[in-house]
Amino acid sequence: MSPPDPGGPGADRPWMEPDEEGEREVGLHLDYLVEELMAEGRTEEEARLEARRRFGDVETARRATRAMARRRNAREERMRMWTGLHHDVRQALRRLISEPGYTVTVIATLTLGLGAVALVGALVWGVLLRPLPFSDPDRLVAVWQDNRREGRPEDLVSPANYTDFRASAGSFEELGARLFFAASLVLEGEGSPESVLVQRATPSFLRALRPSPSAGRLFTEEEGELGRDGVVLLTHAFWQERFDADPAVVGRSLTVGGREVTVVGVLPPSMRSINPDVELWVPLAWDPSVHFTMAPDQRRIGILQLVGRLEPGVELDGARSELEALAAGLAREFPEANDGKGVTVRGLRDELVRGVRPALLVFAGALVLLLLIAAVNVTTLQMARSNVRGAAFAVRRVLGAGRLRLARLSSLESIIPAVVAAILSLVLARFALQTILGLAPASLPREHEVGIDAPIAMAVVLLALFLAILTGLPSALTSLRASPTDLEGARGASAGRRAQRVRSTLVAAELALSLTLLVGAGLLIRSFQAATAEDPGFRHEALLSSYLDVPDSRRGTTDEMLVWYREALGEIEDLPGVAGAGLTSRVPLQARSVLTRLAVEGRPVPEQERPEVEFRRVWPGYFELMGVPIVEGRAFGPDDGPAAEPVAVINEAARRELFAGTDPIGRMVHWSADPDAPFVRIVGVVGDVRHFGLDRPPVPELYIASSQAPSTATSVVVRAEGDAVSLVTPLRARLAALMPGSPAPEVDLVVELARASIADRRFNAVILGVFATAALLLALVGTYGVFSYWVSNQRREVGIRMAMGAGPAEILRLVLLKSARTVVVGLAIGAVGAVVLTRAGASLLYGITPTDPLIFLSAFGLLAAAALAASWLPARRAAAVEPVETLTTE
Amino acid sequence: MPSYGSDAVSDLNVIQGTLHMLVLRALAGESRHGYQIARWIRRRTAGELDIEEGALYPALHRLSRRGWVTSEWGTSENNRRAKYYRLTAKGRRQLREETEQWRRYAAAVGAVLAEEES
Repeated sequence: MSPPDPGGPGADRPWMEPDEEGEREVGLHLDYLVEELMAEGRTEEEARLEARRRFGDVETARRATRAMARRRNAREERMRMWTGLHHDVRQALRRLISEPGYTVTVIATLTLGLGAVALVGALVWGVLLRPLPFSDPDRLVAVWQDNRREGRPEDLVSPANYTDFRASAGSFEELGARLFFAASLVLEGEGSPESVLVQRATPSFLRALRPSPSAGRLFTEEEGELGRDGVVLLTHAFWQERFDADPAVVGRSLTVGGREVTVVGVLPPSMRSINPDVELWVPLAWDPSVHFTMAPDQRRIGILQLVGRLEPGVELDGARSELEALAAGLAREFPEANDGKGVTVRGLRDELVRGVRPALLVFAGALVLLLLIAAVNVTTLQMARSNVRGAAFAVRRVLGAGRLRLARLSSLESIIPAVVAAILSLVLARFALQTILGLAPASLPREHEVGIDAPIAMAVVLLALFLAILTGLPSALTSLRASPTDLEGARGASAGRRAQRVRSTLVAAELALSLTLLVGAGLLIRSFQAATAEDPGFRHEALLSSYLDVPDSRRGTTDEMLVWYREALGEIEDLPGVAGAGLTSRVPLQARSVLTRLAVEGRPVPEQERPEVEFRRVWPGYFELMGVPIVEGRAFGPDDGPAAEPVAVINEAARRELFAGTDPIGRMVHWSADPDAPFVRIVGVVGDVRHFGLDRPPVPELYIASSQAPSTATSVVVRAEGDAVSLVTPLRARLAALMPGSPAPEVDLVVELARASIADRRFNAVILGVFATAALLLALVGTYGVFSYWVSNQRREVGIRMAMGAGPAEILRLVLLKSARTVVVGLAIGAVGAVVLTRAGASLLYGITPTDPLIFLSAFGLLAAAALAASWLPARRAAAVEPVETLTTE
Repeated sequence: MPSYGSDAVSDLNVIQGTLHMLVLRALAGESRHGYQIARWIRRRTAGELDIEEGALYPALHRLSRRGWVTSEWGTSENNRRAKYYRLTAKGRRQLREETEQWRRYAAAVGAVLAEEES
């Protein structure tokens, strides 16, 4: 029987096959004709003949009417489907709204899971997977020198090596280089002087990347030569900020670092992927007057990172082999400079995101776990509900509803919440992403390329639909199987038990997944704590840092500079609230390495094999100011002037590595690259300082006294008596007064530097902590739901038991025992899984092993307690049941 | 293939076009079924146009494909079930256009003929 005809006048039409309909129409026409002719007086026979004659070709007419009938049928079928669908959707909505608890839980669960997908998906896509915003980005590679002798696979390349590579390497269409360290120079000429970060790169570097300039052009090859390199490119962000995106800036003159340069163009925003902080790009001309390492024939010291574009048809491996061969040739030809040096070649995108990849992959893994938990929750919710619905469906089947329609109806009840959840999750993820990126360490590469955009949104919607179908499958199957016989009595104890086993298994699975997430989060949080707790080796509270630049007028002689430094320190210490000030060439926790090779007198060692140490220049009184303990001998004092014997101090790490077993005090060492420089005497050993971050181990360091050999600029550290923050402005003002003509100095809180050095650990811990919390909540909801349902199913049995004399306590124990079994099984499996999975993320940990027993036990205990608590309520409900109720209710 | 005693293909097109217009016109006032359409055309052309009534159905098929007419089953005067055709809004527009075209055509031809006579 078909559903009632939706409408039309003269309704109640009979159901006809289209062919029959077609025949009828023609037949009717003929009948009318015959009647008319008969009314004119002919006999029936004559009338029929005449009617046929007048009608003409019956078969053609029949074909036409049949075709029309078929088209009508098809159209009406479609309309019926739409109406049916419309009807089903409304009904599904009504049902969902009538069970707000269920609906809200499902939507919330899915939103949580999908939101996490959107977030992590945006991160993983934007940072790891998305191709770089340059033309043909997978042809771009990064090249390092692989210093095999010293175990540094990402070493910088020297100018002479670069030139040779470029000349001989046929695998590259373009091979360019940039100075790895950006320079901080003063920009003058447009408003007040400003300190800008400047990147030096060869014109071929830009040509390899092929960015399309937002204005003007890129560097020409000639502009890479000394004397012709008075040009500069603005980065896009800087152009917008400082020049209001005015295209007329091209051609203007600026003064950068005291040199006059012309703006020849503006780089597009895509260059942010290479270096997000830089404001200007200038051509890299080989100019030894800037620094001796920049001489074109300088081969020993690496200063460059290379980026190249592969020649069409050449693959990465081919380029690597060619460069390796070239490097081997250079090692033979120039052994002092290049012995043991090969090359490391990687795709450019992989190179840029290398540091972050492990963390993001761990997030992706955690995400999958969370999603599985959410899916399991939704499935069990739906299964529980479908059992209840089973009877309702059976009734509808009796009334004639088709199986497919019922299946469609119950699918709609899964799809509608999923779609709503998808939309909500995208909105949620948009907001959350802003917060997350705010927390993200400054070192997150390609941060500006991360956002919730079309591919992510589409993926989320598709995933939502997939989840809806997947989780709704058991219910749909139930409704497909629902037959009128289900109405008769109990559905069979075995079917109910089987369903309950499935649900219990799902809950156990959920607990297993949650355990893994909790363990992972616990490990990362502990790593973060361990890093925070590390002794940096100095007292960083109430400490400020800035820089001092000796003004040009006072740079004449060493003595002049020393006088100036003394004056400056005096002026700073005079400020109210300052407990003391000191000078150092490198402030701790700012990860800039300055290495030099140390030769110990009496140990003749060829230069290439000499140990490397970090090099620092500090003013006398520095160690005391910073609270670095003096372990042996003495620190620098007022007598250590330019005329006195040159002295040095090493740290404990240096002592361990270089002087193990012997006393370093009194030994003479040579540190300078200049072979004519004097040896210095070691007069003391100080405690280790973590210069590169709280979570990096200390390295050997050599300190010399800047009162003996000052540099023209250095960093200053200031200890505040009380609150350091209130000292920032007065200190800045005092420094500006000391250095007229220089841009306003930046003042940093060293505490902030400490925090920043472990910002990525904090970030990891936060993200995974959020995931784990979400997982815990979901697991709780899941456990509660399943056991609640089980208990309500068992009412009859409970009633019987109680009627036979069981007390409430016994019932309680029974239920809890059952839930405990499920919980323990789930957690045991989870523990095994966690052990396996956390190994994968071991590189992110600090100070803790992936199988730390304390974390495992805590997570285990937390989840077990939570799950048992979640089954407590249903257990109590069971125990409170009146036996009479259950036996008489049906 | 309806036979009108003519072999020229172009004649067929003209006749088909004319038939469309006649059917559309027949339905302009009220909805009719196939036989009623035939009768209307016979009456209005005073029997001048002797068309085969069966040819109406292919014509109606084409018209319904173009979306100019729709149909539904109803009950006729003498309580019989019949399929009634009526114009859609698109059909009405089409009728207006074709009528306009035909009038201009007739006027042009008429002008030519009138010239020849004088």
